[in-house]
Amino acid sequence: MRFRLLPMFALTLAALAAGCGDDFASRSEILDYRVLGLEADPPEVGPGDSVRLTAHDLDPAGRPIEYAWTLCLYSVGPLVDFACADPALSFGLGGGATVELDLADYDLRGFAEALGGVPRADGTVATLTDGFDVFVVLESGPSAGPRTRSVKRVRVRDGGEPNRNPTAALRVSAERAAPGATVTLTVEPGPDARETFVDNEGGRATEELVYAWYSTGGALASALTYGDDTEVELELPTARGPVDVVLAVRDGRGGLTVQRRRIEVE
Amino acid sequence: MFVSLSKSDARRVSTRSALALLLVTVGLLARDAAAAEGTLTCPPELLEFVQAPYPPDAQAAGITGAVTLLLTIEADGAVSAVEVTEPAGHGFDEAALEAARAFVFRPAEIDGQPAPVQIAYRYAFTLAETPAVASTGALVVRLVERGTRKPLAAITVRAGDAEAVSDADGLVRFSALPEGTLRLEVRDPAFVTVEDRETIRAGEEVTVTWRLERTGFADDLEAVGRRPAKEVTRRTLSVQEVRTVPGTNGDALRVVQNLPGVARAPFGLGGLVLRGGGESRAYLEGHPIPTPFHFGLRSTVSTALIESIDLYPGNHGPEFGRGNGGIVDIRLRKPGRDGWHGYGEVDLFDAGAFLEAPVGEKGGIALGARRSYIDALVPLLLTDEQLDAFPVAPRYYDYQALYQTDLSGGHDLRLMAFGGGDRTVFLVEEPADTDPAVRGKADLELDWVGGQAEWGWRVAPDARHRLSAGYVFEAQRGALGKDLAFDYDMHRVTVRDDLEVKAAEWLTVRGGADLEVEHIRATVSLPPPTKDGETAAPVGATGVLKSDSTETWFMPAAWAELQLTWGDLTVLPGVRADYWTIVDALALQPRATARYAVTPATTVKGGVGLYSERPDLDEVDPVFGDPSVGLERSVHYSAGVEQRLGEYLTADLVGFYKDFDDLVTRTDDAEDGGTGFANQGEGRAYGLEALLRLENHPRVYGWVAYTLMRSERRDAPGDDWRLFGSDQTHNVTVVGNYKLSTTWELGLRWRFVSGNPYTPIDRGTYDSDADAYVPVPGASLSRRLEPFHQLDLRVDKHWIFDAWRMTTYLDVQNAYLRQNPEGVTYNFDFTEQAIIGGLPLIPSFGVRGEF
Repeated sequence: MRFRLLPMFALTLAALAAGCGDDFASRSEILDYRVLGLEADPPEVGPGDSVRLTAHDLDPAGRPIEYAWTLCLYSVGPLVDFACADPALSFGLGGGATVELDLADYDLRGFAEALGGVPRADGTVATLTDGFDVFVVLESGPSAGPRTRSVKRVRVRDGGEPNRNPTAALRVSAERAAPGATVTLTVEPGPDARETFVDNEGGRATEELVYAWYSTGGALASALTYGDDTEVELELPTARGPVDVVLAVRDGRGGLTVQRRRIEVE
Repeated sequence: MFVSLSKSDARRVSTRSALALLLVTVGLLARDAAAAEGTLTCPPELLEFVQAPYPPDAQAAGITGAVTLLLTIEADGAVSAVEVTEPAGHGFDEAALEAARAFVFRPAEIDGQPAPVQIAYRYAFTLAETPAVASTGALVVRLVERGTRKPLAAITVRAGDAEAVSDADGLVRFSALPEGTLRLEVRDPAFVTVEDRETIRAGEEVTVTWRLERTGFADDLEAVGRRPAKEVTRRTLSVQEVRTVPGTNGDALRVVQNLPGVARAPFGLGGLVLRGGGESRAYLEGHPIPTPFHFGLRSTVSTALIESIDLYPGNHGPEFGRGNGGIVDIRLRKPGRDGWHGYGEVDLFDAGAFLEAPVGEKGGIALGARRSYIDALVPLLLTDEQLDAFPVAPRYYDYQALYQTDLSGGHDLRLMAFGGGDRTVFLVEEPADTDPAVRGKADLELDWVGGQAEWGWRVAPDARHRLSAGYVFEAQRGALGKDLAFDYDMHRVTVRDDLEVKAAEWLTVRGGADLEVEHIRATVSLPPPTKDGETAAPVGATGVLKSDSTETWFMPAAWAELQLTWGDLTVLPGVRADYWTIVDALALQPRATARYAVTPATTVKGGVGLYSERPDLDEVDPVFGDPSVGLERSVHYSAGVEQRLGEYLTADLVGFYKDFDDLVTRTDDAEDGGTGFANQGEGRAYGLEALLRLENHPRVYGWVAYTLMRSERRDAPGDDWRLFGSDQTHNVTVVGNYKLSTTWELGLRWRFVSGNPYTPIDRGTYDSDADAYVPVPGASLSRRLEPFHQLDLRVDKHWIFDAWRMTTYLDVQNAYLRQNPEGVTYNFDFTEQAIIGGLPLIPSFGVRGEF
């Protein structure tokens, strides 16, 4: 990689920098229909288990939302828009903000054995013992508006200690406040939110939780809307009305919990 | 072209002969057409003078005389022919002829290579005891350039009724001037006229030093080390041109970007994309430069060491290989030949110093160093918003040491050591909305150290051998946040052995072998690299691949070329064989060029050849790519015409077609997990290059370069053709520099370039696990940015003192404040886009003091 490493890295950094100086609305401002996370409960399952899939979305306009879920047993990945490697491996799961996925219906054990292992990006293959991902795709949006395409990986593994979704509580310093006031948002992770697990090198590691903050009005301190800060300040809008704040907590291994609170600006 | 023998010649002669006195030699005539195209880089030096017997009758009669001879000096220094051009009679002609035939010279050099020449030589017979001597005196005038103290050769000085020409050391000798006050005068169009009076006393020698001030550009404009052209396209830049082209800050490799066939690099940075694509390589005296640019801002080779830069945008000869692009070859000059010189300079980006000095009679040494301080200035100069857009504040340094000496027996030796480093560190405190997971401290560091040794040997009058070796150690390290990092070390050894034999007037044979050995250790944790036309996905979505490898690769090569000349037609068939252990592949690459001088002012030319290069190293890495991929190949075709238009103008028009095959492209096979590659792509680049150039004018230089090109590819059979990422349909560069007076220069550069193609993004797919949107691209590179155009201005002011001079300059980039688009940026879900603007107006002020 000699000739491309440094330029590639520099371009990555330039791209990062380029995104900072524009006038785009921050990703933490929810101005239109948004999916803020797809939760699989549990996030890691055995090949014969069931999973409950939930779309955590928010539409400031409060319009009715349509959902269409699809399962893909093997996707080529993000470079090709998570295209399913073979149409025969794609299955509809129905509609609704929440659906049940029963993996026993798809013979994942036979699927993995037939392939001789599921290919990974680094050229190796994964067996059921190693664990591999199946992909859940959601097309959703207001009935009269554009659709949002969202993807969630569900780790399927035979044996081992399955991951669980983290737990956390979202607290606000005031549920009612004056226009333009500043409200402090705080996350309190649950006592067992940070699990320990066996990492790729075979050692024990502890999950690091990442917090993503959103609001439907006002301004969050932008540098803190994504990361490990447990406290964020929200400057409320000058217009009166409700402001929804949302916190998504991720454990970096597919685990997710989403919390919402409403603040009345009055 | 006029030259004279050196002072040492004259001294040697005068000490060995009281009767025969060498007065002056004037005139060098190129002996053949090839030499006529070259530049005399070293005049012949008389090593063995033979004293002619004084004709007895003349001596008895007290007669003196001087015979002017035309000497033919061969490439080995022997005198092969002597002809009397101005006889003196009285037996002087025969005596001078006989003696001159036995002279032995150190051969002249044309373009650094020993070459046969003819010189006019005046053999004077004087009688030391004659009474006339008692009424005459001698005068020695030493001519140096005011400000640089460089000796001025070939300048005519008039003393009374006598005239003489300065030798290579700037010395003009009048041995027998009549006693009294004489009027002295120097009139040369390149210098301010000097007039003076000097008193000559009988039997005494007076020495005076005159410092002449130039009216136009330095001789560097002419002495660019041009060698006889044999390639279809070789464009050479002089040091003077390198130093003063606006917008480049005197940077050697960035000036090359202003020539036809070279794509414009974004943000004014360095980078070499020649004729549409393929790996282009930068060489220093035939050895690859490990890191041509400091973060794209500066080239890593000091301009002070450079004699000339050759650009081969395509169809280069078999002496170069391992790339489907073009070649930039930097040639070093011989340091310290005319005394101690040096400079110190400071500009917006960095400060540097350079010193050169002679070592012994035939050698010289040069030392240079440079260090940037952008990291300190950037926070002071830019607004917060600009700092957000350009947060990288690079810090770099480099150093070089060069020693070169001529040895006896036609040998010469050059040793060079160099090193440098780049580093930048900054904090990505607020991550981009499009990839929020990438945040934390960014730390990039690059260091290198190395050296070169070259031994040249004139094996025979028509045979030259050159053996050289290079070594470089390069370390690259980078990290961003917790997850992204690379740590890469490379040791590279290169060896070249080149031989050139002129077997007959119509046949020259060249050949050689070269070897590159790379030992690499790499530990990498990065997302899969994007390829030409692809759009980067968020790191959280693609994941990070890890690779840890230690490899040693050998790349041996051998090449041969014949130069066949029949009258005005020159044909150069050649072949190069390369082998790469990394892909276990051998490439046999026949190449040929031809040139035909239709008239003395018009030459038509053409060429065809095969070229090969290895895949990018990530593409053959077992984790990032596929070890089974092989070489990428191309065929270069070009044809054109060169036309001289009067004394100062030349025009060069070249059409080219480059056919790529076996390009390594990404497969979409599910079995590859998205990181599979195969040699399944093909491409083509074709167009026209035009260069109208004004040179050798005392006050003006410049050029107009235009490239019309289309470069396109398809990544798999049956795919639609699409553009290369570097495709630029129109590329116009106008460079001009005018010397207003002896102390003021004005320069401008204006460029117009078609906007770069880019891949539009239709929408984003939300990756819930990464909490980021993955871009869904539209047709690859199907849209184009608005055109780029920019005016850069430069003004130089010189203060010239007797022994040194100071230059200040103001270089203003983007003088009319054009908001040039350099890319496209998107909001978090790719539903909105905005243009990334280019550089604002950048004034750069520099000061340089040199002696």
